[in-house]
Amino acid sequence: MSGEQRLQLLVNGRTHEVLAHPGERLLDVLRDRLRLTGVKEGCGTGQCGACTVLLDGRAVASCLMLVADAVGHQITTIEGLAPPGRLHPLQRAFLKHGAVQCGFCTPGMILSAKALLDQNPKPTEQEIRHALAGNLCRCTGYRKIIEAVQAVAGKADRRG
Amino acid sequence: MKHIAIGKRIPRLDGVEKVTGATLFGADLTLPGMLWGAVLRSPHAHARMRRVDTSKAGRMPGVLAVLTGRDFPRDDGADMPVLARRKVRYQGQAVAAVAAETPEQAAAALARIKVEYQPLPPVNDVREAIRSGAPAVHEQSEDPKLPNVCGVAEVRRGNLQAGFRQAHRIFEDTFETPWVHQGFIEPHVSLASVDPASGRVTVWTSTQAQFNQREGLAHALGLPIGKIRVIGLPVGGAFGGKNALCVEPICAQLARRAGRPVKMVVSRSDDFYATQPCGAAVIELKTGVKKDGTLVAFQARLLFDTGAHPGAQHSTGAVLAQGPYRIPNLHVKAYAVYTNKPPAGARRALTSPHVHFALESQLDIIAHALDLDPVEIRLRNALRKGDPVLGGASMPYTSAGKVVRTAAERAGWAHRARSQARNGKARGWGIAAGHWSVWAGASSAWVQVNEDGTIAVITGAINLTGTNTSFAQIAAESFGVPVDRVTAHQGDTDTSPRNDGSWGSRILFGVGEAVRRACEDAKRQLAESLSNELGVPVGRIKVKGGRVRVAGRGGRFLSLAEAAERAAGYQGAITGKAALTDLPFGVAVAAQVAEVEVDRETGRWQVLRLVCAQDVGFAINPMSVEGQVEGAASQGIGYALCEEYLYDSAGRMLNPDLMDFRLPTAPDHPQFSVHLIEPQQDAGPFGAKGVGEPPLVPTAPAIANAIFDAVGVRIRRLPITPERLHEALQRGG
Amino acid sequence: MRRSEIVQPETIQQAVRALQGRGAVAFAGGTDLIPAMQRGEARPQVLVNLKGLSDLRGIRRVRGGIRIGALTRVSEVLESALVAAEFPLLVAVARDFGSAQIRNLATIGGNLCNAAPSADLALPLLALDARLAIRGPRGSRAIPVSEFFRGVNRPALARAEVLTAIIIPRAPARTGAAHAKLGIRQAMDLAFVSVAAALTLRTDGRKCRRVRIALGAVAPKPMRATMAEAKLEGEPLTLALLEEAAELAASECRPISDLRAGRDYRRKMTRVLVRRVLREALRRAQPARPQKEQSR
Repeated sequence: MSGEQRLQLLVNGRTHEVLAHPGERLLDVLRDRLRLTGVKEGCGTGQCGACTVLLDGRAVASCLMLVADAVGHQITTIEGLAPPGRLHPLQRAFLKHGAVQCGFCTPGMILSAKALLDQNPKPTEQEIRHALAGNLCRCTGYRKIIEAVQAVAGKADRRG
Repeated sequence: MKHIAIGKRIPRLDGVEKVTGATLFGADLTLPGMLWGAVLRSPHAHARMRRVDTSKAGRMPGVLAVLTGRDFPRDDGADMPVLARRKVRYQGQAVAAVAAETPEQAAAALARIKVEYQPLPPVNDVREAIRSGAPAVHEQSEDPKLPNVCGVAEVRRGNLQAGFRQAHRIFEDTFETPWVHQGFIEPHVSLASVDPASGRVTVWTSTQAQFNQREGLAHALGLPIGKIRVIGLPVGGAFGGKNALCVEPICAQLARRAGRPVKMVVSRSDDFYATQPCGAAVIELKTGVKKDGTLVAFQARLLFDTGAHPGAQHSTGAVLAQGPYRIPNLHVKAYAVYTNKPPAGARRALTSPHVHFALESQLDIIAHALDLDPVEIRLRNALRKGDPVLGGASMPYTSAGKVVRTAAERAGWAHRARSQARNGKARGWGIAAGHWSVWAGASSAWVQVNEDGTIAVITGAINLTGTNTSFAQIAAESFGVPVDRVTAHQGDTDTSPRNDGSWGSRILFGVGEAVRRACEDAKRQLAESLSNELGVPVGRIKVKGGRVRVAGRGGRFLSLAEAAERAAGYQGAITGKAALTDLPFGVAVAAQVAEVEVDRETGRWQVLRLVCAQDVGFAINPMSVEGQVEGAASQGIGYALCEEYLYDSAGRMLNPDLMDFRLPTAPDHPQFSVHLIEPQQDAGPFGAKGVGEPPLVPTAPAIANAIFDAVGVRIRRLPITPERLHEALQRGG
Repeated sequence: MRRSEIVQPETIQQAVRALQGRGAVAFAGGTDLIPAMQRGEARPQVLVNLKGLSDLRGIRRVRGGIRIGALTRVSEVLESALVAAEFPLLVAVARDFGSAQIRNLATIGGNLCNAAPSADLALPLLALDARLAIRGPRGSRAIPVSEFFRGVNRPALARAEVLTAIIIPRAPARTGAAHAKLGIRQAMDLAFVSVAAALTLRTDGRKCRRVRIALGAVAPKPMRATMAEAKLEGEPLTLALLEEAAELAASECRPISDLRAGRDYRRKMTRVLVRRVLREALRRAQPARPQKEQSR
């Protein structure tokens, strides 16, 4: 296809070579070329957060990024949060606290929570809500999501 | 009684795949040789279609199929056509569709379809629509003096005029609710493929109702039901918006025409039109009360906006308008009215939130006028066992008052600080109640006892809310085994027994009971197989507690695994089954107390706390039930705060995006506390009943009542935007 | 969404040259441009990606103030210790900007160049008398931020000009600043009205030496309420005078009615927010209690 280039992307700790037009959305390249379908499209305009991935550890809306701008950066999707067969503490906590219902917002929500805790290991409830303001959930009312994040933050605290 | 599996906070059995992103939703699927479908939608709210020219589109690169209204069996009724023919009746109505090799090619082809419209004046709201002389959305109107009426439902009880004569005071109030989208984060998506040999159509889709959609597809495509297979996919939220067919018929027909599979992903902006959103309503109440607040007469006229085609559940609204209260004399007349808006569809609790916003607000108006406590007036009138509820039935047991009392007590209602003002902000408390009827519908289940004693539960119920986990708990409890010995599966229309849609809060109630009965049937079969094999009377064989007891001389225990292995050898398969449509219906009452803070100067407000109480029958999985309450209340907060379709005078939506059709964010939510009441008297499994819809009903009126308590201003229209509240504050209420 | 060609200039000169090409549009964070492309409102043939220009990033001290590169992400502004020390107002506004996912992509320059009437970051910069450095085919120039907005989505940039940096002069002693924005939700909303103000007191701690009041979403562009400012400058600041200034600011704004809010409401809320912001700014400008003299 015209305009496509070989691009090197560093995703979930591995280098991938993809054939893509630099002006394609990162969201589409992750989903279509790399089959990382845990990244979702909910709105395409950066409002819902379902497309959230981590770029060098920071939450970004992959529907607002062009793949050209992802080259040279570390991208983390939900699939890369833990080794196969293992679960990240946030994933375990979301399960344990009933923070998952339909699951569509969940990958983006967990990644945003991870970005928060990596930067602020002991957030207040208001700080958690603020960090998750860009992740819409229509199923849970956020209560159990916040409890899950607090549980992980609390555990980290106890472990020192 | 000690339970081993039910009443436990077990994490969702499909949870691991969700937290790892492994769940495949519709947009994540591909089929070999797949084409992309796209829909051309009308820019006009009301117009005749003079000409549809698809000739250029059909010749575009990569295009393998083009459809117009002519490509579907004729349907002249008021029901929505798959693709419009002679007339479009709402902005966004589908008028043509294409399938092409890439989404870009499909979009380019759509751009080449020429439709000649002759715009007509649109009818924009229900009051306009029923006025004599209003433009007709559908050509035939029953009554020229009352045009655009789609349906009427009327309910009566007692003697209304006598009731009003008994009243100490009569209150008349009108309330309005807006058009809203159900707000699911996953837009509609469908895939279809056709078997070239048999012509059989398979549709994969994000739906709440695979069997009902199969029926709808048969009708839309002019095919026998047996030629269609619908595979319900994991659903990224639905809340009523995925009951009805959306792009499935278009997707299937494109696949048939093109001879290749087709995938259609609806964009977020299209979803505002393409889904069948929740219609607006105008609710007029005239209520007579005695001096002590006893309700003696209730007259209501309900105008439900059904948009361009039938869909608004006006009869449900009529039945639920009385609230969870005993009202001896009433007359409710509910209309579904056509306008040039999208066809109204189901939304969580249907029209119950609309009518309860009205009634629960008015109850507080009454309480305030009569100087009664809002909790007391509700307790005074709350339904008791034997009281008539509409539909000719009676309240199965007394719970309504307890639910209200629980919410009030847990909130600390009696000790609340009254309208404290700090920093120019006022705080207030409000209470509201609501109810919902739970019916079983077509519910069926198969339960297999595998040869190693593990259990598989198979239903055709869409696992919308985690009911599969509850089914596993029910089966585990029935057999007396740990939950990890049970799997629960959602089959499709070819591979599982028929089941009505995941709506009405009926799945746990109806299908859960079918699962329980199917377990009993499986246990019976197991006992019979052993009886025949061992030559022991069947009455001496009991399956219980994870074991099988064979009584009598030389009696012994077999583990379930041993027994299952024997039966597998002797009988071949142990498959319990059950099917039912009719259980004694349940009435689910919910009550909520909201504490809000209002900024008097700007009208902006926030919910600080929401205390929720609900009669859930019995909570098979309390964590999941709480999640339903919190999620429903979240939608109620959105309904009160910020959700509203906005239109211009030409009937075009101004805010088809998530920037301006606002869903509440995490910081908009309060602390929740949830209190489940479990009388265990319902007909669902172990006394359970439906829980998902009732908690949406009281939220908005509880908030409206709290705002009144805070600033003395009554808003009779949702959403209560800061601007509306500010205007009302300026006017002095 | 149409796929544009992407050009990755390595120097500002290359960027300027590329922007002279037909159908070329500057591309920074993408948080406004990409939704516009999704909606079909923008169809650029060529995107000139400014993010490779390292000169355009970073926050550092310069003589008399701070320089923020135009391509600095909003999250970098939010987290900058330097900005927090010198201009807490800018940090506060950045905190309220969109969501984390948007802050990590959006740039301060992009927000200004999109020039929405409600451009969040325009307001604190107006209040702080920032200057904007611009580079174009004809060389460099610098203008006050108050001259940067021409109208709705129309920044004062000639063809192929690039906003390169924002220079904010250090605030004098006894300066206090505050902001407020009004929407429906607690996050993510496009404000109906937003206000930022910075107020400097004279050494007597009573009279106003200088004040800047910036209003957003109540005119075709972010604006300064200059009549309100004139009312206050040189005067002893009483609550009554702040109220008068707020009333003036409400009279000089030019709001419209749109799907988000009505004109009258916006005007009334301008008065409310200006008053609140001025009171807060005054509170912050006032010296600390006598027991503990804070040294600068």
